[in-house]
Amino acid sequence: MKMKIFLKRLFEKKTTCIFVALVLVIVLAGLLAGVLAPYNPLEQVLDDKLQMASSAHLMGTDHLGRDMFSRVLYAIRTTLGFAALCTCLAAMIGISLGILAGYIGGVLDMVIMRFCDILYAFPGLVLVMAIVGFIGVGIFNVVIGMLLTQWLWYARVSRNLTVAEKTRSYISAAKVNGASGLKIMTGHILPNIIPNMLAIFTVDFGHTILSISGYSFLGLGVQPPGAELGAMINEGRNYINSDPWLIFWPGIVVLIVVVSVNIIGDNMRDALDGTK
Amino acid sequence: MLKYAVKRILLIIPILFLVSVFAFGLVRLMPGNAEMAFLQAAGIPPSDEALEHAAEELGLNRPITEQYTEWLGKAVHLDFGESFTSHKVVREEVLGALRNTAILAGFSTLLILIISVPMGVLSAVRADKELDHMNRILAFLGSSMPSFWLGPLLVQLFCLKLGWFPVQGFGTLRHLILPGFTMAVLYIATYSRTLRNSLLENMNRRFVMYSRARGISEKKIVMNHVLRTSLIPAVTTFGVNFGHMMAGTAIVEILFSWPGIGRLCVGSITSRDYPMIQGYIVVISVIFVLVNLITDLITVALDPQMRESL
Repeated sequence: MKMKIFLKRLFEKKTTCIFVALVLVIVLAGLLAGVLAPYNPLEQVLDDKLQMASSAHLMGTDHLGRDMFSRVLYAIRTTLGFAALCTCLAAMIGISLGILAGYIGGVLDMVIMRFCDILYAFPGLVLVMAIVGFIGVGIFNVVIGMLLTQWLWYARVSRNLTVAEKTRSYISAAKVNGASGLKIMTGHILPNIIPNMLAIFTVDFGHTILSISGYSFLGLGVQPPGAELGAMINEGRNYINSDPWLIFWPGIVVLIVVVSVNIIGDNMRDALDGTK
Repeated sequence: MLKYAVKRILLIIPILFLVSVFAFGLVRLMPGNAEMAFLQAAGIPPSDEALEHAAEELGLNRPITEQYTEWLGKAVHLDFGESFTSHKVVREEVLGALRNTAILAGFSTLLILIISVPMGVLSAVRADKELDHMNRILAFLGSSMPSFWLGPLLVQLFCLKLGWFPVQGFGTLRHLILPGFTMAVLYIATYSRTLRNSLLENMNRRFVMYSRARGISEKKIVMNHVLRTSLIPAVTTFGVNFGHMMAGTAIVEILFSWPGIGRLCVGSITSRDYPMIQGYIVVISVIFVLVNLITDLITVALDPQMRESL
């Protein structure tokens, strides 16, 4: 029920509809990269390098003669795909541990929350640098490093919400009716905290896009010649004076997606304030 | 307050212990083994004899607890040996780079304060008017801006087109402005909004009504009373973010060729300079933990309500 009210309030705002549509278009463009891209994103045609935008190359070509439009499409898939993977895993780990800690309480709660406190004291960046530095560069290692601290936020908030939710009368009613602990956690508590988690997830997704492309920009994530938005900016930045579109297109895509996601997240927070 | 301070200070012991175990254990997580990495980095062909010598050198033949205590004894003095690639002392390199990063982060913090406080106050005073809406849009753009994109664009505009600032380099104030600003954008966006919201919240509180009744001018109320109360929560976020800034300047440092610690670390990762990476991890973690500690203590000391509840 709470979800319905939340969604209704969320989509009452025009800005939500506009930006959700915008994000969907970009996500679809990434998903359909294989169909939409006119060229192979890795194919180098050195004779055609650094061309301006034309009907043959909608966004021009890069310093190795690869079609920028095709590369941007594939890069959207890579960047958003890894960001989604990372955020979903973090949310799953965090919410499961949070609900368990909040519902069962006692020693388990204390152990999980102390563990959170200690991990919270580490800067996430150092963990990623450490993993990448000692195990090796690559996008999967970056994702693992990011996951180490990313779940904390979900765990803390879902734990506190669960503690508050646990005392409500519908939970006692479910208990009296003989529902098992697992059933109460997944069937009753989880659906009621999902709107809050969705708001966190949305903002976190935006952050993660910036981090994933940031690490790839630094050369620690997706490796060349793979198409990734941050990595493309790194490759193109030496040509900024003569051929600025090499960094313009990947950058503007990141900016549009992250701005949209942040605005949706902000509207979600407003909608949540209304459902209380 | 004292009880809280003691408790809070004690909490850093397990954290620092974990940092040390983590930094020490990393070498053992490496693919292949540490001896091989050592030889590869030194450019020695891996014969049996050389491997044995390397194991001896790295102390890998001894029991692990002994290795740990010896490592810890050195780590306390920031002794991580020599860089694999440049053969300079890691301690000197890391501390030198840290100083440069501190200059950049400090300057950036100054920019954040100078810009976000007036922005926050003005949008709170003119809440829901044009200026506030403009600030809201700027805040969304700023907090979503990839710094690795903004940086090159600023360089293109201000260095190459207008020629106002040098493209890269180090030493004068003119070198600081663009990297400092690139770093500050995200924080300016978030702080000016947080400050605006907390100002508006405090404007509705009772002490403001009393001050108005006493005939104090609106300007004085905002500047002397409301702003002061609203800045307390800002101290917390500020401290935490300063810790992040010290660790997280790699992108800006690389963009502007600033010889700081983030750039040093990324360079060391690319060249597999393990002692250097280890030095970075320990130094940054300790700084982060200490900055958090100081921030927590200041927050509690500043806020009378929190002070009494402890």
